Amino acid sequence: MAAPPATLGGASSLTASFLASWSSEKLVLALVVIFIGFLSIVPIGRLLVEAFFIGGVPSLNAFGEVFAQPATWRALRHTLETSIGGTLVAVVIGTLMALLVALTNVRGKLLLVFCLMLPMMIPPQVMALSWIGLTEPGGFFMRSTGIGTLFDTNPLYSVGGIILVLGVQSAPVVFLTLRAGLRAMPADLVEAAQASSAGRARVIRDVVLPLMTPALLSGASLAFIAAVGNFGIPALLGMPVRYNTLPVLIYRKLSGFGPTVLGEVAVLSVLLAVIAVVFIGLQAKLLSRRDFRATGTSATLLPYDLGRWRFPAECFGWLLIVVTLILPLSALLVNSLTPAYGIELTPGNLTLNHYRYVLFIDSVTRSAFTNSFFLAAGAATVLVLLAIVFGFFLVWRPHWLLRTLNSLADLPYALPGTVVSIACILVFIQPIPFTQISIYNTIWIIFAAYLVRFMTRAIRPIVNAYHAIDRALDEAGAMCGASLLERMRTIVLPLIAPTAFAAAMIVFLAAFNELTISILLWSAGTETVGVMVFNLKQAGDVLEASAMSCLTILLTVTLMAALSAFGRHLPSGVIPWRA
Amino acid sequence: MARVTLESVNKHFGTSVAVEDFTLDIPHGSFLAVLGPSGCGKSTVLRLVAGFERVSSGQVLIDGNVVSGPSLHVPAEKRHVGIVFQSYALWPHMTVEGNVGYPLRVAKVRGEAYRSRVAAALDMVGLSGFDTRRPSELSGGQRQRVALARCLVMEPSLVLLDEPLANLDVHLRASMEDEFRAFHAKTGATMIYVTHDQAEAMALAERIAVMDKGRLVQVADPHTLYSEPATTMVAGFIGKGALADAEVLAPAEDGRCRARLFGMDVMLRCQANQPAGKARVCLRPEDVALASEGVPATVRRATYKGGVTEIEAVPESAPDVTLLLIISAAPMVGTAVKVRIDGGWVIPAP
Ligand SMILES: Nc1ncnc2c1ncn2[C@@H]1O[C@H](COP(=O)(O)OP(=O)(O)OP(=O)(O)O)[C@@H](O)[C@H]1O
Ligand SMILES: [Mg+2]
Repeated sequence: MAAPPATLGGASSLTASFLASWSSEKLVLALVVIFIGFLSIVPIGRLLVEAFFIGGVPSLNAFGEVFAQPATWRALRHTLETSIGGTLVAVVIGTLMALLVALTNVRGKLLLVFCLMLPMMIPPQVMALSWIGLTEPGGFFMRSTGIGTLFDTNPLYSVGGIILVLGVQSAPVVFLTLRAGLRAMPADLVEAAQASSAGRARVIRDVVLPLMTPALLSGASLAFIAAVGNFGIPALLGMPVRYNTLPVLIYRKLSGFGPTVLGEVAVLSVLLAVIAVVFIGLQAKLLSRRDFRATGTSATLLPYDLGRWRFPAECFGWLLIVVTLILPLSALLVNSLTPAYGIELTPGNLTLNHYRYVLFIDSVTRSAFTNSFFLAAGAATVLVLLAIVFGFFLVWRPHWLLRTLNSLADLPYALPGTVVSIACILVFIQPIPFTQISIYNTIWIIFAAYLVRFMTRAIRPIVNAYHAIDRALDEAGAMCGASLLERMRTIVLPLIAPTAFAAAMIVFLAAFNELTISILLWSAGTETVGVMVFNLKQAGDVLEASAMSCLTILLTVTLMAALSAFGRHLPSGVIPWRA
Repeated sequence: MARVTLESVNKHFGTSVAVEDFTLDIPHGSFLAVLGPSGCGKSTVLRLVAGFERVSSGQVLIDGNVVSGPSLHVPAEKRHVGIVFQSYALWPHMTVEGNVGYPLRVAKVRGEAYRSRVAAALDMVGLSGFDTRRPSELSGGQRQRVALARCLVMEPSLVLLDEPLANLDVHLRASMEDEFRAFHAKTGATMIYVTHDQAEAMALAERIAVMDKGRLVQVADPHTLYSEPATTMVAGFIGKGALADAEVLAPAEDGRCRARLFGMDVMLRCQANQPAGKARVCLRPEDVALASEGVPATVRRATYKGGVTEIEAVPESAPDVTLLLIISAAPMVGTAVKVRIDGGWVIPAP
């Protein structure tokens, strides 16, 4: 037998090694806690201080001033009416499709679901641009169908237009929540109704929909929260007709007057945050109720055989996809290939010039691609590494402080992006403490805001993955004498890698397609792809904007498809569109 | 070899107490089983010794050095303690060789020394030639052997096993028990073996520590535990038998005392300082027999056990007591019989 190692030799060496190892573990933990604590608490806290304190004294005067302006009330009303309208549209589309996919035997569900989920991953400004292209009276589709002659101006620049596109964008959330609810529905309840010889329509009306009410309400509040915080759609569709929602009003004030209006926009963002928080609370309540009831679920429901109605049902599903997704995206594609605005696209004059322009010729658009790429890749890398360490301690060394941080980390993602942006401006407009460096007006403030915003999208799947791993696997490594870092490298990382990879891709996609945050934080040279699409459209360069949008869609769809293919190796729930 | 000492160890999780005032000395090279009902804190004791949990108060010493104390905690990776987990804890992304060789790689053992030590460990558990397999390609028994080999390769002086057989079927258990016995004989390591299966504990261990609700109730060799249980909980948990109320008529003499049981005068075994008075008595099947003279009782149930029959008899004077007897020719259920009390153990007052 070999001699026992020196560590068991004497009390003094034991104490020394304990100090060395324990402190390195504590150091890593302390750094992660401080970092996540900073990201999740400081910006939001700073925003609240800005709104509720004047000169260090609690005061609501700032609110009084902001509410004295009619523009605030108008924006509030606009935000609520577009969000409610958009939610209703989303609920109708989402419910119909969820019933179709979850309850019937239509064919090609995989592709159908992929197409249904796509609007969730397409950035709102691109969605809006596609729809504008579709409904432009002088555009390809309106002209070739003759509908264009009915309108003088684009009908989409209106409340109705905003509601429609918001609805299309939010429909996937309703669809996903409802489908999850339907899957968890005890089959025997439906079978009991069928056994009492209720017809299909009656079963759906009397049993399925009532049972699904919590899921439906929960999906609807998610859609509502997303709509409240949406910037791209109301900005592109509402600004031409001077119709401002709260995020748009904040953008106009800040871009018009600069940091002097920070106090005012802080109050507006708090208002926006309050609307979101109320509905997050509502949604959490509904969700907990549904979870409670779904326990002890029996076998999954057998899909209804639609019989000769199957084909019409399939046609209906695909028609919806064509109208809400394929047509707008085709309009976008057509625009990006058209040689010049107002010229009709023919096979002969089709051109890739706009692509060449945005990718290679124009230095601003070109740098927007690199900016977005590095911002997204950087945020994904940092956040996933952070989440790997954080998850390790949260799940395997539970502590109330970690659990608190874990809940707090959700906040910046749940709140509208505009709120996060304003909070970050407030924190970073001053130099970083103890240094002369200010990251305001540099690309780093966008990076910091992305870290704040997307933190939870990395943490959530990775923490779930830790829960699925037997803790003894790490303990066995410790028993073998491996230090924390060594275990991280040789045991934890290989086990968590598939999920970490997927989480990184999802953060990357979200950050790459993002507009709401960067539109408030960009400066010359730090434009992101989202900002560029928006600015090009505002400057009337619709064709270049369309080409850029097509490129982001191409990237999005490619990454989504790659992730879906890789999804077999992932625990469920990691990929958002696979729920 | 290692000596493990736990001194007044307490461990609580939040407000719930998992281990309470636990004091135990485990000498060099011994094989101790920790036995107790589910949730009594067995695993927690093991994890405290391993270094996965910190003590709330008290201390743990290994070879006289404090490894866990109120202000000091040597982490598991510095303790060099071998552990065999119930879930095997094999790393799915490594081969058998990768799993078994991991402790050596951590200790920077390379080349020929590495290969020969991994091969020797695999050979010892009878898995030579399985080097390149993945854990998922092994049966439960083989997986536990790999885990054992991983432990073996560390050459630890202390090995902790937490219900290592719980996930294996009955046939495999016997052969794995042999494996553990061989491991102990060959390495001379101190072994602490947690189980809730008393047969397993009796078969393997020199000494058994019985726990109940976080406390250590009795530590003794299997025979003493069976014949002289310290509490009614141990009497009920270990082996079969009945518990009955008795009146000790005179203080103990030579480890025996006169007592009144079921209305008869009997001689019972007891502690040297057993006083007179009321007491509980543990009656094992060996302590009672059918006879022509004795306690009147009724046969309530008879179960054929192959060769012998186990019968339950209820004394007329104590209808809440069920005596267990093992006999070769069983009377009919419902017959009145006489039961002779040959012995019995007076459980010491708490
Ligand atoms: N990490 C923990 N957090 C909170 N409570 C715990 C934790 N670990 C154990 N406990 C509690 O401590 C008590 C003892 O648990 P322990 O796992 O030691 O029991 P056990 O004797 O090993 O049981 P079993 O035979 O079921 O494995 C239980 O009540 C358990 O719920
Ligand atoms: Mg246990």
